[in-house]
Amino acid sequence: MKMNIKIDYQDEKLDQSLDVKLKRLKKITSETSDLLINQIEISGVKCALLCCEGMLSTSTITRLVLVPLTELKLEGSVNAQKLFSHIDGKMLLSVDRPKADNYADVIRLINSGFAVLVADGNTEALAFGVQGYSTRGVNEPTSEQNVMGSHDGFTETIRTNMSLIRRRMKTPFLKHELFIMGKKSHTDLCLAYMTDRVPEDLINRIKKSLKNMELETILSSGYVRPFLEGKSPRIFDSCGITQRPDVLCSKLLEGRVALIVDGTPFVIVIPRLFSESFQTMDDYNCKPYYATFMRWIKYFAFFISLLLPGVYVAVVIHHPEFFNRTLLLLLAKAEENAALSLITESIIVMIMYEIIREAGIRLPKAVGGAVSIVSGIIIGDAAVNSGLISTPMLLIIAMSVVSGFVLPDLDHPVTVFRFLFLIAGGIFGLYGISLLGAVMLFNLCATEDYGFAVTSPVSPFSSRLMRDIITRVGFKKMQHGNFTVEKLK
Amino acid sequence: MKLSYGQLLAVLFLFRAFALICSGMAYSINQMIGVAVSAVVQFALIIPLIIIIKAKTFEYDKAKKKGLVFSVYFILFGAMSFKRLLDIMGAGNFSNVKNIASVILLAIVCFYCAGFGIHALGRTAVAVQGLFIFFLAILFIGVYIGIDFSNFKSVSESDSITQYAIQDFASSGEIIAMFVLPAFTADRCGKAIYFYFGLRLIITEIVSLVGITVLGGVAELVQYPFFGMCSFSQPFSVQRSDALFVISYALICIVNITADIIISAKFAECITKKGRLFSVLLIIAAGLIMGNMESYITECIVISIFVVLSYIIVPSMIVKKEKRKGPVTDNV
Repeated sequence: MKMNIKIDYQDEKLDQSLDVKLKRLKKITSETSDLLINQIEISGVKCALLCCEGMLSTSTITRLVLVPLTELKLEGSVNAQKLFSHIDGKMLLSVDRPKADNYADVIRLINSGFAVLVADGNTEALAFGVQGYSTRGVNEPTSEQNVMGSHDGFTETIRTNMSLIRRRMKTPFLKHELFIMGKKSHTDLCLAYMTDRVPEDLINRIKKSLKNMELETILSSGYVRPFLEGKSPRIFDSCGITQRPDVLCSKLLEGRVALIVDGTPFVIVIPRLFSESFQTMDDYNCKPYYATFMRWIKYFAFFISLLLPGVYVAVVIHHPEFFNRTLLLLLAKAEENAALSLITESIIVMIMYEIIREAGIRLPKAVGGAVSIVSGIIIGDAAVNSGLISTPMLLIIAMSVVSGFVLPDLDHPVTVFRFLFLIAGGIFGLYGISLLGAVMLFNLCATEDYGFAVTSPVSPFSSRLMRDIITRVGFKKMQHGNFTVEKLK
Repeated sequence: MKLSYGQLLAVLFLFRAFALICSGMAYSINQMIGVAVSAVVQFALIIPLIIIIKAKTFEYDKAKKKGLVFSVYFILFGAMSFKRLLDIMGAGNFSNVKNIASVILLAIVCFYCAGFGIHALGRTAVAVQGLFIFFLAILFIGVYIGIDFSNFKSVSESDSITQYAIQDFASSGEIIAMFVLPAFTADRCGKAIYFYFGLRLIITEIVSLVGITVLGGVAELVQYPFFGMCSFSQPFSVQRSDALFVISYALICIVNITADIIISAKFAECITKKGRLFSVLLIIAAGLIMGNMESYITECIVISIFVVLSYIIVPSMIVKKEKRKGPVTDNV
């Protein structure tokens, strides 16, 4: 069956005749079932109210649009222009009332949940914002959990997300810039920034990067990110992601730019610093000494999650003199009955862990928990008792993965590089770890977008900005200085 | 994109740190004085350059074909670093690294890292510098128990101050980097050089001092006194922690060779577009050819010749000094 219909309607203006208009719309949409065409006569003018089934609120459209329009009676001779001028100028049927004069805009508005009114003898269409599609409510974010901060997170609806930011930032300097991208999906995107804080060069260059994007569909923020990041492949992200409006507001205050993509609760933040992976909203809700302590715990956790299995294997295989006598004897005793070599054993444990984790994520929540318990306790215990896996190895891998949970932002690079460090350490010892470490370090230091290095303010070094890296200074000190990303350049 | 003042300092410091670790000079009073004399002589040699830097700005591509002299020098300097690494590997300080695969791997890593350019090098150098100082602190904590001031008596002064000064000068290849790197640095090069000499003097003298108190007469017997001192370090109740310093050493080595590749390639690019590949291959080849060649007198003469050549070439790199704007990159 051949179904390759291609109709070019992008720049096509609306026809005068209502019948021609409706015919054309039906042809363009291939008479899709969810396009509702209600033909009515308003003050003697033949009109049609077009909408998409399921995209609008029936009660709203009935109360605010259908009833007033059907009851409308204009005096004297009425034509389409006069009718539209009256509706547009004297009737406030909805607060969002865009106009369209071409088929592309009409279709986009219908598919965005607007009710579109077209009339016989007019080349213009009036749209009424009566969207009422089902959306997920504002819930606690699934990632970036915190204890003392707010508990609302972004949702899939762009307008809700914009309102969540506006609720926290009532300043007139907060600008939302809406635009549409995606040749097929016509996805709404919104650039949010503080006009008094954002570097002009940054916003211009982001807009330029987005202009180069020629995607057909944008289904999540992951589609857009590669266009905002540099050309060369990098290990670490130079664009941040957040699900929390409070976090985003703090970033906007620092002169960063947010890109909200309709259909995803994950908002992109540009630019991102590597050090931000170690900061949470809770850090700013507790005493500075505790926040500083926790920050250092996170730095430590990063190195443990990344390097511990690799360093352990490297030291045990190549540098056993590093351990003291007691520890060495303990490890030797644990490993003497192991059936597999240390490196094979560790790779197997880590692969098994990744499989279990993936199963836990993909399965329904009720089953996912059970899988984790069955795999973690039963398989782990059985593997150790059978002698296939040694207890220290299991402990090392467990410590490493648990440390990784502390830094969800760095999960992807840490997961992959944990394996690579393990292999490098197993083959070449600490020398191999150093070589791979150098590769990672150079790659990290080379990561920069729009002139902002992700390693700032450590390298390039700025002693003044280190106050939120080495420590977390109190708000009394933080209120002075008004940090903006421009200072990182 | 140019290096900042701190990044220039870090790159120069790591050149010195590498020489410090690889040094075969036994720690002694004469050695401490000799090292200081060498630093003063080098500083005196560099004073005219500092005067020029204060008034003028350099651009490396203005050197054109003359710049090949620097390209050759940094290939030789890189090869020397590479040879030192091979020597240290051969001396058994890297117990597991003895095969050709490790050498090839190092070359690949340096080649890959050099591809990120000078600004990534500068940033990495700052991080590695911090790491080296951290490891040095661990080393000192670890050897604290072993410090014995009576070891000063057991130190044998086998070489004269002059010999030590010449040996130190021979290992100070970074002096030519001071002529070249201002062309890649945004500002305050003079200040970075002043600080470099200060930091160099402090670190080398402290290491020597601690080395004497820990090793005493043993320093004369070990091939690489720094590694000898590392093997005496026992922080956190470990038996031997010298393996830990392999991490720091390998990172410094990579930064050194990568810096040599980048600088040499920058000048070679005036002739060939494949400057990076060209440089890395020549460095490895020259490093392997050098083999057992060991003459600090020759090294000293080579460095002196290049200092003279640098003073001839540098004027051609001068451009009219103008106020610089902030660093701008265009990778998006």
